Amino acid sequence: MSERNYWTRMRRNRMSRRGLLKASARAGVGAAGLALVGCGDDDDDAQPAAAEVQQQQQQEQQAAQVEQQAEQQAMQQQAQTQTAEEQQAQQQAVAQAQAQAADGPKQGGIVRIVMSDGGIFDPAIVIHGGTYAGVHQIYDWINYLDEGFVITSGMAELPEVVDELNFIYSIKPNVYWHDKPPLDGRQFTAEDAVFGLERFGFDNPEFVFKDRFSIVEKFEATDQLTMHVEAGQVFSPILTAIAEDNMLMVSRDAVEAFGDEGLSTDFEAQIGTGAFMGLSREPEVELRLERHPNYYKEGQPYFDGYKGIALPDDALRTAAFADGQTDFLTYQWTGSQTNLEEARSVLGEDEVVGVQNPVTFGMATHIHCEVEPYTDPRVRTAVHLAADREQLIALSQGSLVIGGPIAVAIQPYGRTEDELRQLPGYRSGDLRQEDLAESRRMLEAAGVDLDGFPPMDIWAPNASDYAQVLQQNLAEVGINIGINELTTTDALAARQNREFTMIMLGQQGASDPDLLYNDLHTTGGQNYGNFSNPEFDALVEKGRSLFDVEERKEVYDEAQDRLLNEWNPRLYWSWSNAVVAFRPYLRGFRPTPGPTASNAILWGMWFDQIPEGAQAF
Amino acid sequence: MRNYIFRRLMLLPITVILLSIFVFGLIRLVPGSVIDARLAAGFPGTANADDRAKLEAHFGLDKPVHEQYVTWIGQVFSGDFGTSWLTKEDILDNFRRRMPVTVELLVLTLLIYIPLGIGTGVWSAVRQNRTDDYSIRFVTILFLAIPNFWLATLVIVVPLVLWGYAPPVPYVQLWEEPDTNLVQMIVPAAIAALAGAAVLGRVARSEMLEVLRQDYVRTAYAKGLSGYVVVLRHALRNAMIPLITLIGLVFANGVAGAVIVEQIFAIPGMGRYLVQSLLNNDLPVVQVWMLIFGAAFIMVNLLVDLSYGMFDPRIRFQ
Repeated sequence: MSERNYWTRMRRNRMSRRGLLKASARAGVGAAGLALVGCGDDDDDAQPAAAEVQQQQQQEQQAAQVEQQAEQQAMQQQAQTQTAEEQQAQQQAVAQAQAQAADGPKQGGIVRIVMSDGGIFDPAIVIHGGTYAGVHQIYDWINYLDEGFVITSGMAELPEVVDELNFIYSIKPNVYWHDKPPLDGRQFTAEDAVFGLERFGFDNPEFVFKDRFSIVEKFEATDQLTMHVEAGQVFSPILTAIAEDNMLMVSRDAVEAFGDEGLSTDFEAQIGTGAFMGLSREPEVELRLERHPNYYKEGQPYFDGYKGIALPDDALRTAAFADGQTDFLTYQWTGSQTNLEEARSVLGEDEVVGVQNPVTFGMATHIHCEVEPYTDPRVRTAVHLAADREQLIALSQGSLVIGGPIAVAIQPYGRTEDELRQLPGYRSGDLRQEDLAESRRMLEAAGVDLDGFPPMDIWAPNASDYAQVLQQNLAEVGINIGINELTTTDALAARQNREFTMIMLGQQGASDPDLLYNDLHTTGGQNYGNFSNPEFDALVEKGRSLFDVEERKEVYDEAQDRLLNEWNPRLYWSWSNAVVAFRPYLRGFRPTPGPTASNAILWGMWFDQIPEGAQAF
Repeated sequence: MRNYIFRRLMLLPITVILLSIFVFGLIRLVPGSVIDARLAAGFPGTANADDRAKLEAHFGLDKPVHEQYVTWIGQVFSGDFGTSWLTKEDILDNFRRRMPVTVELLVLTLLIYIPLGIGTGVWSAVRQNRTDDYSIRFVTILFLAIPNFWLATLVIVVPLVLWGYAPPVPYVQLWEEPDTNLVQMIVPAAIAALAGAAVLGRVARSEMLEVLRQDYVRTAYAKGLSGYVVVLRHALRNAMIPLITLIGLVFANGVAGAVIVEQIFAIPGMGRYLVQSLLNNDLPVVQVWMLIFGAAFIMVNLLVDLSYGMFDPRIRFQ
């Protein structure tokens, strides 16, 4: 992979500065030349021969495309093998390096992180993933999801499961709010936990998690450090929902003192129980946090402070990292394998640690199941069989992996890439030809007009390349489909209002396979394509009523199999492949899963050696 | 002249009102809305008609457009620019914080743009058809052709690869660390200035060539004046009128350039604010932004018109 990337080529030319400058000059001269040539008139005399020439060009282009595709596939297969091996080796190296820190964590230093500043801090309002860059350090969770989506004790012990409807959380006695008015460092109590969770469901039009706990009958503080959660119906993902990375605890005192508006925008109002306390914020420039001395995890955090630096541009971000001005290159969901390789090509393999962080969002193609021609499941399945996942994923430059209905990160439920590659629609080579033949057969059986497919809406420019590939894939089975490019807000609006026939854009994830309920149940909130199938509904209803992992897996395996083989209400092809990249002098990193992956846990990390510039703010 | 200035200033509020109606109406024609974006951000599936209605009422979008306009313009004239729908921050506070950053960038841009553009143009004209002239003409065409976003990325990437150097981050204010600030700002300013300077240089060259052929220039040389005095005092002053017009236009070009370089170099100015607001349909910010820069552009044009008299005494303002 690294052989083909831009930074590697640049680095290869490192010895020849003159060559590089010459190339830049040539590019400039070329651009200038183009600008001058562009001023000339069109040659109208060429008109009569245009049709012939065009036809010949098209034939040549098609031949070149086929050849290029074959070459690309061979390269992809080779690259994927390399990537899988490389990634495995990386993970082992990281584990070894982290384990080698035998002398234990060290205190000190300011960790410097690239962030995007969302500007809104209230955990109940999510409009920008960047929101979490800082709030995940200031606020904390009752329980949280650790590696492998394992629910882990946070400010409360793991819940005592009384029965399928009742759960008791014991708050740890050594949890304190930050020492700032009006909280003034007082103890975190069960009342605080009740308020923190109930607030997500308050009737505020801007609160986006209102339905999260709609099945909860009550949150109740039975004594100062005990919270009772009673569900109105059996809902197995409830414990995961409470531990999900959005579920950060804010205080009633802060809300009363600053109001909801203040909690959203006023940095002074950010008073939590988290590992770091707010120090200063320069909007879209820098966020400074200092160590919380009374943090409930003994001795943690190990860093003295946190410095978030807002760098929107990829080139500047990589440059600042390579130059030692930041310790993390990628921290949030935006990091990809390509970012990692670029940094490694500048700094060297050993100077950048890259770890995949399990996130559960990706690119999806929603199909409106109530609009012709997609009302017929055979047509949807034909589209599913025609899509070439390998080609689509290759375009992502390492930021996406092949995916099925449940994100691969949600184990043991999500199908891995290797498992998916055995399935119709995901296969390559001769088996793909079989899938294409089956696709054509289904379209013929459905009797649809292949030239009458309405255009596919796409989120431009993010999905433009993918859409073109999908367009070509569909053309292979005879479907002639146009592309309608939409801006982010338009694409979101079209999806939200169900005003599309097929639409390609990002999709949010979750931390539990119950996401299928929200995505595709007849009453599911994210069932944008209005899919409705009683058998599927019964399966996902059963899934959310089971607590046993094996039993749940059986249900969700069946749901996924039938989705891909029979129903195909969405074209599933990817999930995110977020990579967190940082310098090797940082120790104690743990990948942390979640829908946004912005909660990479810093409190357990430390500097093995404090780098220059990180001693103080 | 006083009457002229007074009349122009009297027209300003009317122009601003017309501009405000234009801006207010135009951005509402753009499809998509912040409501949809906000509703779509929630998961799992919080959006329903009730939520939409509440959010619309929250942002005042449930009222007729003309009522929305009257409310908004009334607030603007009373000094209340409102709050951002996206970040909920006070727009005026944001402007106060960001405006000096962009003004600094524009000033630095002008400081590079004017001497570089006029200097190369004059030199090129004086050295017509010699190697210097050809070189300058080639370079000006080059900078006209190169997109500034490409150049901006190149000036980050090349020093990093060659020398392991990156510009200092994050952004610091001029009054906090002037030297670091200048290091951070000078390259973006140069990039924003180069294309404009190339245009100015080419216009200055042609204007100067025209003037240098005039009889009074020949007379000045015949009187024994030095080339320096002839070119700068006699010829350049007479070539300045079209150049002043062009320099006035650099305000608009500079703002457009700021939009790009601020984003690439992580400079928290007005340009970056506009980009974010446009991408998120943050209408209150976009409206105020357009209004303020529209008004500023009108003022700059007035200053340009007035400055003509300084360079050409024959011009009278009536």
